[in-house]
Amino acid sequence: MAEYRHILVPVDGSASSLKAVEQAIELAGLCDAEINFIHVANLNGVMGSYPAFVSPRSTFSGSILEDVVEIGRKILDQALDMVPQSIKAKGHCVNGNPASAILQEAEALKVDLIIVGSRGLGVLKGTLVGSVSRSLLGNANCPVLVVKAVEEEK
Amino acid sequence: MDKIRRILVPVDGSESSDRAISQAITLADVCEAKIAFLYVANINQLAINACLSDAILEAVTKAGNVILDKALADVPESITAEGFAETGSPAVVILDFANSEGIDMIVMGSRGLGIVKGVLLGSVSQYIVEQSKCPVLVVK
Repeated sequence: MAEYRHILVPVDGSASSLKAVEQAIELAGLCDAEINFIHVANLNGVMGSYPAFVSPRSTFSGSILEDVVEIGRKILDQALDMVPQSIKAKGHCVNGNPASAILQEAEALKVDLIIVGSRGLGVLKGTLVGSVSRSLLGNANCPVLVVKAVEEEK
Repeated sequence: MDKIRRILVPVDGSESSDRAISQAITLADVCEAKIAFLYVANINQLAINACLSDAILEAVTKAGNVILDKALADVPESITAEGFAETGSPAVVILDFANSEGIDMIVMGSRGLGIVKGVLLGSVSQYIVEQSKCPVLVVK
């Protein structure tokens, strides 16, 4: 019988992301698995390829990068703080296209399972399953567990 | 976080479904949960009443039982598992079952036996992931 040894949990501070963290903690405890949290800062739009004539000030990208790294650290810390001592957990903060970065990390860490919230903090609030989660469901090589946040408004 | 006590596994005999069965067994073992396998024959009451011959109904029922029996045979002694056969629109029946039968998690294949083979996430799996209140584990 296969076992879950490495679980990857993408986090962004959203309600369903927190539910994913809880679910991961429960399963990791039962399987003696290691949890890897990953936060992806999508800076490509801000820092990415601008045409030469635009020439953004170098200080512009500097401070934004610092802020984003700080935000990533806080989001990862929030998740890591929820994990009991008995479970091994690590946080990773990367930059890039969220779905691709998560899939890359899943490959690199050879995870057995991805646990992800159904939707994050994205703009399209009507969506039941966010674009990143959707992309993971379609492209991950391992099983993907989609967790819903409790709905406050019904 | 709610304990996982009962896992629903929709089955249709596809490869994806077989892998979902394995994953569900792993989970049931770890969580000490029960498994409910569900086969949904995609025929509705109108068709059954109006034009489906007994022979067709018999064939469909038999096919469903073969799939359910195979799933149940894979489950080790230590895990409690049951098989259920229903008719109707698969996505709707699966969701109704999950809501009314105290299901804590759904484990299903990413795509079944449907015609559109290029699709990464089948229409039934997609619908379940969107509408389910409980967590859904999608297995390729």
